[in-house]
Amino acid sequence: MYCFRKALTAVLIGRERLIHSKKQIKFAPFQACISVNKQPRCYLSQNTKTCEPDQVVNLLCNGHPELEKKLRILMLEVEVMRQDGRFAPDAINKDQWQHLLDLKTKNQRQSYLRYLFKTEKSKENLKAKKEARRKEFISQKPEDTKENEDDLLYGIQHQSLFLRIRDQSINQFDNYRALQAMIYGQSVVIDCSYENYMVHKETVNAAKQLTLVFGDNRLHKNPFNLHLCNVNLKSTFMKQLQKNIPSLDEPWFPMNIHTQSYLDIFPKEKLVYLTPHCREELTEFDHDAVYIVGCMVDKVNNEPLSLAKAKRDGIKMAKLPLDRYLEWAPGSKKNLNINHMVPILLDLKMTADWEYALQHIPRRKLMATKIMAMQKNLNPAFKNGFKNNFKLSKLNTLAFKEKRLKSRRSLYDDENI
Amino acid sequence: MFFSLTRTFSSRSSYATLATRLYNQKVSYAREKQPDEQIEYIKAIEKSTQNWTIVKSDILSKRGNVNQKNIDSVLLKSMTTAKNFDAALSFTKHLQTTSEELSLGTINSILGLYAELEKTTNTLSKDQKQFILDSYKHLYDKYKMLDYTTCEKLLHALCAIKEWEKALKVLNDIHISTVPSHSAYSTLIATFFKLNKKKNAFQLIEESVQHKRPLQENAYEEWMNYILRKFKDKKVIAKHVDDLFSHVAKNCAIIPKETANKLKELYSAMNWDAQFSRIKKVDGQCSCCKEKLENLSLTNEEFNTLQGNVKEKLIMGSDLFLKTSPQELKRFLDFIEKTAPYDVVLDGLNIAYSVGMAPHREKLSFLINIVDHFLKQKKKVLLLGRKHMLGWHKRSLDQIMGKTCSFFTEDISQDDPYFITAAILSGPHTDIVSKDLLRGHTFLLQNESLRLVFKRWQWQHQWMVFLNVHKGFVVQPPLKFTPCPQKKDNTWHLPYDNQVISSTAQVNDGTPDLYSWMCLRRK
Repeated sequence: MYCFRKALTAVLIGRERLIHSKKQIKFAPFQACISVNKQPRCYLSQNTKTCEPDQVVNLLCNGHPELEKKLRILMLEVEVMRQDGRFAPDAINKDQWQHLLDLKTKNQRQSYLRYLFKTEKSKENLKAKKEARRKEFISQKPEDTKENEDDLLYGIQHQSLFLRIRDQSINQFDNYRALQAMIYGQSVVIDCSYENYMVHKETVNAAKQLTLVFGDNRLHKNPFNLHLCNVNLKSTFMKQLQKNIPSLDEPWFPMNIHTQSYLDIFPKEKLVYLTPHCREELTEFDHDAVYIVGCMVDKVNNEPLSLAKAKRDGIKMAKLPLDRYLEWAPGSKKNLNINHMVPILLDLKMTADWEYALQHIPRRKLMATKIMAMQKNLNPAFKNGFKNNFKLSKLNTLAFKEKRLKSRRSLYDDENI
Repeated sequence: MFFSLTRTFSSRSSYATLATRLYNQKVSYAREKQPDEQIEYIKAIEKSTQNWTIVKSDILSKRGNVNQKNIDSVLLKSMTTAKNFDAALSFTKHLQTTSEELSLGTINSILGLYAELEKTTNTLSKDQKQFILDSYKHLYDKYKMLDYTTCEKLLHALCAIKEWEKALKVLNDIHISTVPSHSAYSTLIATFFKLNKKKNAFQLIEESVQHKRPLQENAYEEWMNYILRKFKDKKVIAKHVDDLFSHVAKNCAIIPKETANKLKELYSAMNWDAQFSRIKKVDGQCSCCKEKLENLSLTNEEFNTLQGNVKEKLIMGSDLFLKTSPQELKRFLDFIEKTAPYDVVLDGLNIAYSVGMAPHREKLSFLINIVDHFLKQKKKVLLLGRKHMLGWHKRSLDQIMGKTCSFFTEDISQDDPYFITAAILSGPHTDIVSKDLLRGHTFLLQNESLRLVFKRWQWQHQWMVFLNVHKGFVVQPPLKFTPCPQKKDNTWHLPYDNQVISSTAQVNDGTPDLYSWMCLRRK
């Protein structure tokens, strides 16, 4: 009960802080400079149903004849694909048309349409499955019965001893730590200047990773003060991030968004760019340094962009000592996701233990996993045994799940340390 | 046994790495595909007239992606590809009689069927021809602008009834949404030759080359037919066939297998000699006529364009900082100006690492051997490497640096672009030594003709060194000939695309396939 109360007070304190947060942020060393378009917020899900083709044409082309011609042809192209038995979705919304217009080649359009088709089908299937389950549930559900007229019903849906903690409370509790870090925490910069080098899919991916970074960071016992630098507020990346985190442009939101470069905000000698392409290894975590992580997904373009950037700006570079602590499988790339980098840094700051921090690297990249997979594939007896022997399979899946859990748990679990 | 294997894996990591790599190549993670019931059913359709209403409802009752909207088109397309023309025609008739208006997809499939029918059996009835013309008019009236699928189908159908003017208009319409396909260009070119319109054909060939759409077999065939039809005198025919070959040689194209067969027929009909042959890699000797292929060295002009482009494209690229820094580039250019020209430029790290993961001293001693090999021939050698090499074995290093010019780039810069640039800037006679095939750098040149020039330069100037257990090392000189289509006296040598050989695994050593060539000799 005690800890429960403590949690509640913490939330309350958090809330109080939240109310005054405008004032406090002003006194904080680095002012949050959010100026995302201040449109009235829409609390309803917007109508994303497909509009009529003519409506789409009007919206996208604004009477531009060349563009309109191209769009009409693309619409015909999609229609023919539908009638041809090739993969094309039945419904395409305005944004998707815009993206189709932006794509340069026929093959790019085709693969995008195939992707849309597949997602559409899987959504349909999911819906059908849910509907079936709902019907089953309704038919099975037993009635709650009272023995006497005056009896009280106990249970989750009825009366219960426990207070309900709503998502919002948990959210605010989490934000509290992030806000605290904005005042006292160490700064970490996420450099968002690479959008031009990414294709659309990668941009969306990067936005998703950044969303996870924000979540992981505020869950941690001792979070960083996150700064997004070089942000272009009108870019697809920012739009996508806004979609993922709707409260991004609120004044109290615990993340700094700058349109300036990190050079304008931090002293140059403190900055350290983390890039996998350089030669120097990061041996010790420096609690005074400001580490920079490049916000990019480099599946298509694997030029050493972050190295070039650091070289041009003339700041220090470092890479994680990955080879020193882990044995890598051949062929796995050593550039990590942003949502792996930041948790690694978080744990490293707290424990100064590389082995522990590097747990966040996906296991599939390591030699041990590769050898396990080889054993499974090479030995058919083992494979069959895996299927038949229940005990063995259970053990295996448990171990597997545990491994996966471990990397997440370290973010907020006290006993783990 | 397995566990012992694993133990070896984990104890010797490098072996494990190698083993996994080998293993990964072997395993194909092909998932067993579930057979699609609908497709199976469609494939099983007999070659005869059927009750199509029942067939359609049968298909729709099964699971799969075929639905009411696309069933007509899918059925027609699958029957056309299976060359099941009787059934397809009967289904077309069924469609035309029953449904009030054909959908766009269905019209496309019917057009595709007619084009294919004309190509294989050459029997289009008057009604069918009229249908093609009608649908051309109808589609343009209804939509004004057409998408590329419809355009391609229309183009093929129009070519089948030799309506070249309309086909040309359709071809231009494709350009709005995409580049026309190989077969679109080739079919139209073939039609031009069929109609004896040589000028139009050549114009279109030019255009197709610009869009990187090399000719297909049917265009070549009609080209030859045109020549045979038009001219009877042997000498004149020879002159015009030369036009065809010069086109192939200019674009360094590889002719399809069918065309190679046709050419052979043509030559034997003329009583000339035509043989499939192979080229010896050592000296470029043709196995058939015993002549040697020529070395088409770069002209001054070609070399100058290469020289002008290489620094910009290879080192600077889109961003100078990606590969190097401005200071380093300046240091490099100053160095070249002072010490050029050289006879040989060595890719130091590439040569040193031919030894494998050996101690630094062994790498350096191998490098010394190579340097000595070239110094013996009284050549001026430039060694290019990275600065971390300077920390290797001091004495061996001093030994090398005393004998050669040397330039070392920063550790975080790339050394490959520098050694290529050094060789090309130094002059047309400078050679390079590296095992690297330089494909990534060839790609960076962006321009197709420039790439070809670079490739030729590489064939003529690249030495390779290999570690050999018995002799220490083997030095492989550059090719003495250029493996491109070429004419010598009255003999043409052309490579053709032999699908059989190219499907087997081969080590790519940078030279094209030397086993599938043609030797065409005139008497």
